[in-house]
Amino acid sequence: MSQSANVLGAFGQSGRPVFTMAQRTTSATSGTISPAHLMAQRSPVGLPLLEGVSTEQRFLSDDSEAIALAEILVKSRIAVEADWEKGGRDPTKYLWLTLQRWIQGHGGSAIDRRFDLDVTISDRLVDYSDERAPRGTLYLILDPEAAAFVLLNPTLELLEKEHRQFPSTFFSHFAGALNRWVRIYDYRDAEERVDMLRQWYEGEENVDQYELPDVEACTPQSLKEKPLSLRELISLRQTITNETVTALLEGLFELCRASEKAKRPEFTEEMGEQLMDSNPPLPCLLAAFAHGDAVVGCFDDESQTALEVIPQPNLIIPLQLSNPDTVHKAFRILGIACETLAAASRLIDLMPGNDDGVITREA
Amino acid sequence: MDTRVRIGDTRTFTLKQAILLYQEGNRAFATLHEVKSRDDGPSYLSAGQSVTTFRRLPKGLEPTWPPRCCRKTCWHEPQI
Repeated sequence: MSQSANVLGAFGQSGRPVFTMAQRTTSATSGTISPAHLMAQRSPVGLPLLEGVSTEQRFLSDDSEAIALAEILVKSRIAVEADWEKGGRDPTKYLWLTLQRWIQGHGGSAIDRRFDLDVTISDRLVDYSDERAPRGTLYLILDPEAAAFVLLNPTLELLEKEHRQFPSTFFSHFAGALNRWVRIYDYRDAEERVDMLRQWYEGEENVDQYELPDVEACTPQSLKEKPLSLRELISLRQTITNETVTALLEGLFELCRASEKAKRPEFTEEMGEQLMDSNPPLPCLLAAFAHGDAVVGCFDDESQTALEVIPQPNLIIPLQLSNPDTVHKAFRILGIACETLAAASRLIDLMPGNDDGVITREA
Repeated sequence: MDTRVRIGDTRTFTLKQAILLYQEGNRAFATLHEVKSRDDGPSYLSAGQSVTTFRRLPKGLEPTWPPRCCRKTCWHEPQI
């Protein structure tokens, strides 16, 4: 019998399937109706469950490096014992849980509000590349899944009312603190893009047919002022009465303090060999003056070709399994990079006009 | 932040999406579903989106019916 015939019910006299009629039954207690007769049957329709289906498959070959790293992390007290059982006593999963725990302990929740980032422990800088690092060398790699967004104009306008040099000072330290660790795309990148496009079009006939984004026109004049040093800004803080401005400056100081706690690891020759013919890193943050301005236009234009060649990772932190100190140091540096991003995320929360950039994540 | 570990040839493949094939006679289409997980029960498939109308199912996904001898003539282009 076909499946539909089964649903329809028993065969009738003609031999064709017929709908089963509801049975008229009389309650044993005359005159009363039991609740079961009044309530509708629970619908069997629902989302298909994958009960009994394995949702994870692991291909395991040599995990000696993972074990060596796990051992160092335990001895350095970066990894915790509880995760070993939680990870099913699997070294790779243990490292994954440790990495998650470490990031969470260094501002993970605040970062996730604004930034969409990946952190990987890897033996190579390029996904699916055959060329890996020398044995015993691993990397912590930080890269964006998508660029976060910050709107600058409302903040710059507010700061300008307080002091004519505040806008340029705020932008300079905000961008500088973040650029120490990750790439942010701002009006200077957009200006470079426009210059490059202008050079491309110069040799062509009918140059006038090309319309270039007017970055100059959308850039506030206040950014042309000379920025104050952080020390000068701290000394001026006492004179400010506006609470929002005070909060913004406190947030900026927190960001700068976090950013300067460590130096970003240098890009080595060996990394360069793995990343030959790569594009610049993908921006982790787009800093625009207004929605849909020329900076956003240039960013959109560049993003069309950004993945034509594999981009460099934003942050590469190498570690040597033969030297446990480098492992400890690498995780400490990752922690500082995370704290910097968390401080930036909290600061963007305070910046007027940025209610829209919060990332909603499923539980 | 999403986190990953990729050392050596060890790889962990997690079920992220599932393709469901719907078939009527010699026509079929596929829907793509996200696999959602939850702490207190088995994973489940969320609502899907139509991926394509198949002209012909890829090898290996073909049903055992119709019989091999007439399969070539049975799998024809759908009338859209």
